[in-house]
Amino acid sequence: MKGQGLINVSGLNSFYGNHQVLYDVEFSIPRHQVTVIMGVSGCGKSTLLRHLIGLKPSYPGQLFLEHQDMAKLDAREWGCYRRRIGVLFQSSALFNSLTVAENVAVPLRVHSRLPQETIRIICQIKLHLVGLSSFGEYMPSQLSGGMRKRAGLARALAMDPEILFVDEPSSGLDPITAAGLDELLLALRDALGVTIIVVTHELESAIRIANQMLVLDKGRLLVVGTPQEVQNSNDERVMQFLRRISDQQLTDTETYLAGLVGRRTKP
Amino acid sequence: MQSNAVVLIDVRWLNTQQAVVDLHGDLRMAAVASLRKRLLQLARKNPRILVLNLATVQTIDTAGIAMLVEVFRILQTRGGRLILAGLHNQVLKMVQLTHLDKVMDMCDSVEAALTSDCRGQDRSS
Repeated sequence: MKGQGLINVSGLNSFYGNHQVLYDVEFSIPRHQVTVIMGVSGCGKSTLLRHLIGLKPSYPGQLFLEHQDMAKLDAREWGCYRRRIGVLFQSSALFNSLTVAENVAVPLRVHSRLPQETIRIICQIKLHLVGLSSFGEYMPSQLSGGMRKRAGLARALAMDPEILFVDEPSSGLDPITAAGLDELLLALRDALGVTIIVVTHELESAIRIANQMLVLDKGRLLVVGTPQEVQNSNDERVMQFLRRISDQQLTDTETYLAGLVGRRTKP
Repeated sequence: MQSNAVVLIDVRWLNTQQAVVDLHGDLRMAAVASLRKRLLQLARKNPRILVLNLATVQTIDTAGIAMLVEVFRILQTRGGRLILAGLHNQVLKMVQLTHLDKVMDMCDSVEAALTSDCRGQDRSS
Protein backbone atom coordinates (compact mmCIF):
# COMPACT_ATOMS: atom_id res chain seq x y z
CA MET A 1 0.00 0.00 0.00
CA LYS A 2 1.29 3.41 -0.94
CA GLY A 3 0.40 6.79 0.50
CA GLN A 4 -0.10 8.09 3.97
CA GLY A 5 -3.49 9.65 3.55
CA LEU A 6 -6.77 8.77 5.21
CA ILE A 7 -7.82 7.06 1.99
CA ASN A 8 -5.21 5.73 -0.41
CA VAL A 9 -6.01 4.72 -3.98
CA SER A 10 -3.46 2.51 -5.65
CA GLY A 11 -3.71 1.36 -9.24
CA LEU A 12 -7.50 1.53 -9.37
CA ASN A 13 -8.99 0.12 -12.55
CA SER A 14 -12.75 0.09 -12.97
CA PHE A 15 -15.07 -1.51 -15.49
CA TYR A 16 -18.69 -1.56 -16.41
CA GLY A 17 -18.89 -4.92 -18.06
CA ASN A 18 -16.04 -4.94 -20.57
CA HIS A 19 -15.92 -1.17 -20.78
CA GLN A 20 -13.03 0.24 -18.76
CA VAL A 21 -13.69 3.63 -17.21
CA LEU A 22 -10.77 4.09 -14.82
CA TYR A 23 -7.17 3.32 -15.66
CA ASP A 24 -4.57 2.84 -12.95
CA VAL A 25 -5.73 5.74 -10.82
CA GLU A 26 -3.45 6.46 -7.87
CA PHE A 27 -3.60 9.20 -5.24
CA SER A 28 -4.06 9.82 -1.54
CA ILE A 29 -6.70 11.80 0.30
CA PRO A 30 -5.11 13.71 3.18
CA ARG A 31 -6.90 14.02 6.50
CA HIS A 32 -8.70 17.18 7.50
CA GLN A 33 -8.37 18.71 4.04
CA VAL A 34 -10.52 19.34 1.00
CA THR A 35 -9.76 17.22 -2.06
CA VAL A 36 -11.50 18.23 -5.27
CA ILE A 37 -11.92 15.80 -8.13
CA MET A 38 -12.45 17.50 -11.49
CA GLY A 39 -12.82 16.54 -15.08
CA VAL A 40 -15.10 16.70 -18.09
CA SER A 41 -18.36 14.83 -18.19
CA GLY A 42 -17.82 11.13 -18.54
CA CYS A 43 -14.21 11.19 -17.37
CA GLY A 44 -14.85 8.79 -14.50
CA LYS A 45 -15.34 11.18 -11.59
CA SER A 46 -18.61 9.65 -10.45
CA THR A 47 -17.26 6.13 -10.84
CA LEU A 48 -14.31 7.05 -8.68
CA LEU A 49 -16.67 8.52 -6.12
CA ARG A 50 -18.73 5.33 -6.13
CA HIS A 51 -15.63 3.33 -5.29
CA LEU A 52 -14.71 5.69 -2.47
CA ILE A 53 -18.11 5.50 -0.80
CA GLY A 54 -18.41 1.77 -1.27
CA LEU A 55 -21.13 1.64 -3.88
CA LYS A 56 -18.79 -0.02 -6.36
CA PRO A 57 -16.44 -2.68 -5.09
CA SER A 58 -12.73 -2.50 -5.73
CA TYR A 59 -10.23 -5.30 -6.11
CA PRO A 60 -7.73 -6.11 -3.34
CA GLY A 61 -4.78 -3.76 -3.23
CA GLN A 62 -6.56 -0.84 -4.89
CA LEU A 63 -8.33 1.08 -2.15
CA PHE A 64 -7.24 1.55 1.46
CA LEU A 65 -8.89 3.23 4.40
CA GLU A 66 -5.89 4.08 6.53
CA HIS A 67 -4.19 0.68 6.46
CA GLN A 68 -7.27 -1.39 5.79
CA ASP A 69 -7.82 -2.86 2.32
CA MET A 70 -11.40 -1.90 1.61
CA ALA A 71 -11.89 -4.89 -0.68
CA LYS A 72 -11.46 -7.10 2.35
CA LEU A 73 -13.89 -5.38 4.70
CA ASP A 74 -16.68 -7.56 6.00
CA ALA A 75 -20.28 -6.39 6.38
CA ARG A 76 -19.75 -5.13 9.93
CA GLU A 77 -16.66 -3.17 8.93
CA TRP A 78 -18.49 -1.63 5.97
CA GLY A 79 -21.22 -0.59 8.41
CA CYS A 80 -18.61 1.08 10.60
CA TYR A 81 -17.17 2.88 7.58
CA ARG A 82 -20.57 4.12 6.46
CA ARG A 83 -21.18 5.57 9.93
CA ARG A 84 -17.98 7.57 9.53
CA ILE A 85 -18.97 9.11 6.24
CA GLY A 86 -21.61 11.49 4.95
CA VAL A 87 -22.62 11.67 1.30
CA LEU A 88 -24.36 14.45 -0.57
CA PHE A 89 -25.54 12.99 -3.85
CA GLN A 90 -25.92 15.18 -6.89
CA SER A 91 -29.67 14.73 -6.83
CA SER A 92 -29.82 15.10 -3.04
CA ALA A 93 -31.76 11.81 -2.73
CA LEU A 94 -34.22 13.08 -0.14
CA PHE A 95 -37.10 10.91 1.01
CA ASN A 96 -40.12 12.58 -0.54
CA SER A 97 -42.55 11.36 2.09
CA LEU A 98 -40.61 12.91 4.99
CA THR A 99 -40.27 16.53 5.96
CA VAL A 100 -36.92 18.21 5.61
CA ALA A 101 -36.24 17.87 9.34
CA GLU A 102 -37.27 14.22 9.30
CA ASN A 103 -34.91 13.64 6.40
CA VAL A 104 -32.04 15.12 8.38
CA ALA A 105 -32.99 12.99 11.38
CA VAL A 106 -32.88 9.69 9.47
CA PRO A 107 -29.16 8.90 9.97
CA LEU A 108 -29.43 9.81 13.65
CA ARG A 109 -32.40 7.54 14.19
CA VAL A 110 -30.79 4.67 12.30
CA HIS A 111 -27.22 4.89 13.60
CA SER A 112 -27.49 6.38 17.08
CA ARG A 113 -29.36 5.91 20.33
CA LEU A 114 -29.71 9.57 21.00
CA PRO A 115 -32.98 10.67 22.60
CA GLN A 116 -35.61 12.37 20.50
CA GLU A 117 -35.00 15.85 21.87
CA THR A 118 -31.27 15.66 21.20
CA ILE A 119 -31.99 14.55 17.64
CA ARG A 120 -34.41 17.42 17.20
CA ILE A 121 -31.83 19.95 18.37
CA ILE A 122 -29.13 18.46 16.13
CA CYS A 123 -31.48 18.74 13.15
CA GLN A 124 -32.17 22.39 13.98
CA ILE A 125 -28.46 23.10 14.12
CA LYS A 126 -27.71 21.30 10.84
CA LEU A 127 -30.54 23.04 9.04
CA HIS A 128 -29.33 26.39 10.28
CA LEU A 129 -25.80 25.61 9.07
CA VAL A 130 -27.11 25.15 5.52
CA GLY A 131 -29.48 28.11 5.69
CA LEU A 132 -32.73 26.18 6.00
CA SER A 133 -33.65 26.76 9.63
CA SER A 134 -37.16 27.94 8.68
CA PHE A 135 -37.87 25.02 6.38
CA GLY A 136 -37.76 22.01 8.66
CA GLU A 137 -41.47 21.27 8.29
CA TYR A 138 -41.51 21.63 4.51
CA MET A 139 -41.73 18.63 2.24
CA PRO A 140 -38.95 18.18 -0.33
CA SER A 141 -41.41 18.84 -3.14
CA GLN A 142 -41.97 22.31 -1.75
CA LEU A 143 -38.31 23.25 -2.05
CA SER A 144 -36.34 24.59 -4.94
CA GLY A 145 -33.58 22.46 -6.41
CA GLY A 146 -30.95 24.41 -4.58
CA MET A 147 -32.79 24.11 -1.29
CA ARG A 148 -33.14 20.36 -1.75
CA LYS A 149 -29.39 20.20 -2.23
CA ARG A 150 -28.84 22.09 1.01
CA ALA A 151 -31.26 19.80 2.81
CA GLY A 152 -29.30 16.86 1.46
CA LEU A 153 -26.12 18.40 2.81
CA ALA A 154 -27.70 18.87 6.24
CA ARG A 155 -28.58 15.17 6.23
CA ALA A 156 -25.08 14.23 5.11
CA LEU A 157 -23.76 16.19 8.08
CA ALA A 158 -26.21 14.79 10.63
CA MET A 159 -23.77 12.32 12.17
CA ASP A 160 -20.83 14.76 12.13
CA PRO A 161 -19.02 12.54 9.67
CA GLU A 162 -15.29 12.18 9.68
CA ILE A 163 -15.34 12.08 5.88
CA LEU A 164 -17.78 14.02 3.72
CA PHE A 165 -18.31 13.19 0.06
CA VAL A 166 -20.03 15.85 -2.01
CA ASP A 167 -21.09 15.27 -5.60
CA GLU A 168 -21.49 18.48 -7.59
CA PRO A 169 -22.46 20.71 -4.67
CA SER A 170 -22.91 23.85 -6.77
CA SER A 171 -25.10 22.43 -9.49
CA GLY A 172 -28.46 24.15 -9.46
CA LEU A 173 -27.32 26.85 -7.06
CA ASP A 174 -27.03 30.55 -7.77
CA PRO A 175 -23.51 32.00 -7.37
CA ILE A 176 -24.24 33.56 -3.98
CA THR A 177 -25.67 30.38 -2.51
CA ALA A 178 -22.86 28.36 -4.06
CA ALA A 179 -20.30 30.64 -2.47
CA GLY A 180 -22.07 30.22 0.87
CA LEU A 181 -21.85 26.49 0.49
CA ASP A 182 -18.13 26.74 -0.21
CA GLU A 183 -17.68 28.77 2.96
CA LEU A 184 -19.63 26.19 4.92
CA LEU A 185 -17.44 23.36 3.66
CA LEU A 186 -14.35 25.26 4.71
CA ALA A 187 -15.87 26.01 8.11
CA LEU A 188 -16.60 22.32 8.58
CA ARG A 189 -13.04 21.46 7.71
CA ASP A 190 -11.74 23.98 10.21
CA ALA A 191 -14.21 23.49 13.06
CA LEU A 192 -14.76 19.74 12.86
CA GLY A 193 -11.64 18.62 11.05
CA VAL A 194 -13.81 16.92 8.43
CA THR A 195 -11.99 15.37 5.50
CA ILE A 196 -13.93 16.51 2.46
CA ILE A 197 -13.96 15.09 -1.05
CA VAL A 198 -15.78 17.16 -3.64
CA VAL A 199 -16.59 16.22 -7.21
CA THR A 200 -17.26 19.34 -9.22
CA HIS A 201 -17.08 21.05 -12.57
CA GLU A 202 -16.90 24.49 -11.02
CA LEU A 203 -13.31 25.60 -11.40
CA GLU A 204 -13.70 28.78 -9.40
CA SER A 205 -15.21 26.91 -6.49
CA ALA A 206 -12.55 24.22 -6.69
CA ILE A 207 -9.72 26.73 -6.55
CA ARG A 208 -11.39 28.48 -3.64
CA ILE A 209 -11.83 25.44 -1.43
CA ALA A 210 -9.32 22.80 -2.50
CA ASN A 211 -6.21 21.87 -0.59
CA GLN A 212 -5.63 19.24 -3.27
CA MET A 213 -7.04 18.93 -6.78
CA LEU A 214 -7.22 15.94 -9.07
CA VAL A 215 -8.01 16.22 -12.77
CA LEU A 216 -9.32 13.14 -14.52
CA ASP A 217 -9.61 12.68 -18.26
CA LYS A 218 -10.98 9.59 -20.00
CA GLY A 219 -10.46 7.56 -16.86
CA ARG A 220 -6.86 8.58 -16.31
CA LEU A 221 -5.46 10.86 -13.66
CA LEU A 222 -3.75 13.75 -15.41
CA VAL A 223 -2.51 15.73 -12.45
CA VAL A 224 -2.68 15.79 -8.66
CA GLY A 225 -1.57 18.80 -6.69
CA THR A 226 -2.45 22.04 -5.05
CA PRO A 227 -4.68 24.40 -7.04
CA GLN A 228 -1.57 26.38 -7.94
CA GLU A 229 0.28 23.31 -9.16
CA VAL A 230 -2.70 22.21 -11.23
CA GLN A 231 -3.07 25.64 -12.79
CA ASN A 232 0.65 25.57 -13.67
CA SER A 233 0.37 22.16 -15.32
CA ASN A 234 1.77 21.84 -18.84
CA ASP A 235 -0.53 18.96 -19.70
CA GLU A 236 -2.51 19.92 -22.80
CA ARG A 237 -5.76 18.39 -21.61
CA VAL A 238 -5.43 20.00 -18.20
CA MET A 239 -4.86 23.38 -19.83
CA GLN A 240 -7.83 22.79 -22.12
CA PHE A 241 -10.00 21.99 -19.11
CA LEU A 242 -8.83 24.95 -17.08
CA ARG A 243 -9.15 27.38 -19.98
CA ARG A 244 -12.56 26.00 -20.95
CA ILE A 245 -11.53 25.23 -24.51
CA SER A 246 -14.21 23.08 -26.05
CA ASP A 247 -13.45 19.84 -27.74
CA GLN A 248 -15.10 21.27 -30.84
CA GLN A 249 -11.90 23.13 -31.56
CA LEU A 250 -9.91 19.93 -31.45
CA THR A 251 -12.30 17.84 -33.53
CA ASP A 252 -10.79 16.23 -36.55
CA THR A 253 -12.94 17.98 -39.15
CA GLU A 254 -11.49 16.01 -42.03
CA THR A 255 -12.39 12.70 -40.48
CA TYR A 256 -15.83 14.01 -39.60
CA LEU A 257 -16.55 15.12 -43.17
CA ALA A 258 -15.20 11.89 -44.55
CA GLY A 259 -17.61 10.00 -42.41
CA LEU A 260 -20.50 12.35 -43.21
CA VAL A 261 -20.34 12.85 -46.93
CA GLY A 262 -17.66 10.43 -47.97
CA ARG A 263 -15.10 13.08 -48.78
CA ARG A 264 -12.81 15.48 -47.04
CA THR A 265 -12.71 19.24 -47.52
CA LYS A 266 -12.24 20.62 -50.96
CA PRO A 267 -8.62 21.18 -51.96
CA MET B 1 -11.28 7.95 14.46
CA GLN B 2 -10.32 7.36 18.06
CA SER B 3 -12.52 9.05 20.63
CA ASN B 4 -11.91 9.37 24.32
CA ALA B 5 -15.20 8.92 26.13
CA VAL B 6 -16.02 11.82 28.38
CA VAL B 7 -15.76 11.00 32.05
CA LEU B 8 -17.70 13.13 34.49
CA ILE B 9 -14.80 13.69 36.76
CA ASP B 10 -16.22 15.81 39.50
CA VAL B 11 -19.28 17.74 40.51
CA ARG B 12 -18.50 20.37 43.08
CA TRP B 13 -21.24 22.19 44.90
CA LEU B 14 -19.55 25.32 46.19
CA ASN B 15 -22.67 26.23 48.07
CA THR B 16 -26.37 25.58 47.61
CA GLN B 17 -26.45 27.79 44.57
CA GLN B 18 -23.24 27.25 42.66
CA ALA B 19 -21.93 24.06 41.12
CA VAL B 20 -18.88 23.28 38.99
CA VAL B 21 -18.64 20.24 36.70
CA ASP B 22 -15.23 19.20 35.39
CA LEU B 23 -15.32 17.35 32.07
CA HIS B 24 -12.49 15.56 30.32
CA GLY B 25 -11.95 13.93 26.93
CA ASP B 26 -14.21 14.13 23.91
CA LEU B 27 -17.75 15.43 24.22
CA ARG B 28 -19.02 13.32 21.32
CA MET B 29 -22.06 11.30 20.44
CA ALA B 30 -20.84 8.10 22.07
CA ALA B 31 -20.54 9.78 25.46
CA VAL B 32 -23.50 12.11 25.26
CA ALA B 33 -26.21 9.54 25.92
CA SER B 34 -25.11 8.82 29.49
CA LEU B 35 -23.58 12.19 30.29
CA ARG B 36 -26.70 14.04 29.18
CA LYS B 37 -28.86 12.29 31.74
CA ARG B 38 -26.56 13.24 34.60
CA LEU B 39 -26.18 16.86 33.55
CA LEU B 40 -29.93 17.33 33.10
CA GLN B 41 -30.52 15.88 36.57
CA LEU B 42 -27.97 18.32 37.92
CA ALA B 43 -29.65 21.26 36.16
CA ARG B 44 -33.00 20.28 37.65
CA LYS B 45 -31.53 20.74 41.12
CA ASN B 46 -31.82 24.46 40.43
CA PRO B 47 -28.30 25.81 40.80
CA ARG B 48 -28.21 29.55 40.39
CA ILE B 49 -24.91 29.14 38.55
CA LEU B 50 -23.67 25.98 36.85
CA VAL B 51 -20.13 26.12 35.49
CA LEU B 52 -19.06 23.48 32.97
CA ASN B 53 -15.28 23.29 32.95
CA LEU B 54 -14.31 22.34 29.38
CA ALA B 55 -10.61 23.14 29.71
CA THR B 56 -9.61 19.53 29.16
CA VAL B 57 -12.30 18.63 26.63
CA GLN B 58 -10.46 18.08 23.36
CA THR B 59 -13.31 17.93 20.90
CA ILE B 60 -17.07 18.37 20.78
CA ASP B 61 -19.54 17.35 18.10
CA THR B 62 -23.09 18.45 17.43
CA ALA B 63 -24.50 15.92 19.87
CA GLY B 64 -22.35 17.50 22.56
CA ILE B 65 -23.53 20.94 21.54
CA ALA B 66 -27.14 19.73 21.68
CA MET B 67 -26.55 18.55 25.23
CA LEU B 68 -25.27 22.00 26.21
CA VAL B 69 -28.39 23.50 24.67
CA GLU B 70 -30.65 21.29 26.77
CA VAL B 71 -28.81 22.12 29.98
CA PHE B 72 -28.95 25.81 29.10
CA ARG B 73 -32.71 25.66 28.48
CA ILE B 74 -33.47 23.97 31.78
CA LEU B 75 -31.41 26.44 33.74
CA GLN B 76 -32.88 29.37 31.91
CA THR B 77 -36.46 28.35 32.66
CA ARG B 78 -35.58 27.92 36.34
CA GLY B 79 -33.76 31.22 36.71
CA GLY B 80 -30.31 29.69 36.64
CA ARG B 81 -27.23 30.50 34.59
CA LEU B 82 -24.91 28.24 32.59
CA ILE B 83 -21.31 29.32 32.16
CA LEU B 84 -18.91 27.49 29.86
CA ALA B 85 -15.36 27.75 31.14
CA GLY B 86 -12.03 27.06 29.49
CA LEU B 87 -13.18 26.71 25.89
CA HIS B 88 -10.36 26.41 23.42
CA ASN B 89 -9.46 25.24 19.93
CA GLN B 90 -12.05 23.00 18.30
CA VAL B 91 -14.55 23.31 21.15
CA LEU B 92 -14.58 27.08 20.84
CA LYS B 93 -14.87 26.85 17.05
CA MET B 94 -17.91 24.59 17.36
CA VAL B 95 -19.62 26.90 19.84
CA GLN B 96 -18.99 29.78 17.45
CA LEU B 97 -20.05 27.81 14.37
CA THR B 98 -23.40 27.05 16.02
CA HIS B 99 -23.71 30.67 17.25
CA LEU B 100 -24.10 29.58 20.85
CA ASP B 101 -21.47 32.11 21.81
CA LYS B 102 -24.18 34.70 21.21
CA VAL B 103 -26.41 33.33 23.97
CA MET B 104 -24.23 31.35 26.34
CA ASP B 105 -21.85 32.85 28.83
CA MET B 106 -18.22 31.87 28.41
CA CYS B 107 -15.21 32.43 30.61
CA ASP B 108 -11.58 31.62 30.24
CA SER B 109 -11.48 29.69 33.49
CA VAL B 110 -13.61 28.37 36.34
CA GLU B 111 -12.16 31.03 38.61
CA ALA B 112 -13.20 33.78 36.23
CA ALA B 113 -16.65 32.24 35.94
CA LEU B 114 -17.17 32.25 39.68
CA THR B 115 -16.13 35.85 40.01
CA SER B 116 -18.31 36.87 37.06
CA ASP B 117 -15.17 38.22 35.42
CA CYS B 118 -15.94 37.01 31.94
CA ARG B 119 -17.85 37.65 28.75
CA GLY B 120 -21.60 37.62 28.74
CA GLN B 121 -24.08 38.94 31.22
CA ASP B 122 -26.38 37.46 33.76
CA ARG B 123 -29.37 36.56 31.57
CA SER B 124 -31.09 34.67 34.33
CA SER B 125 -32.73 37.80 35.73
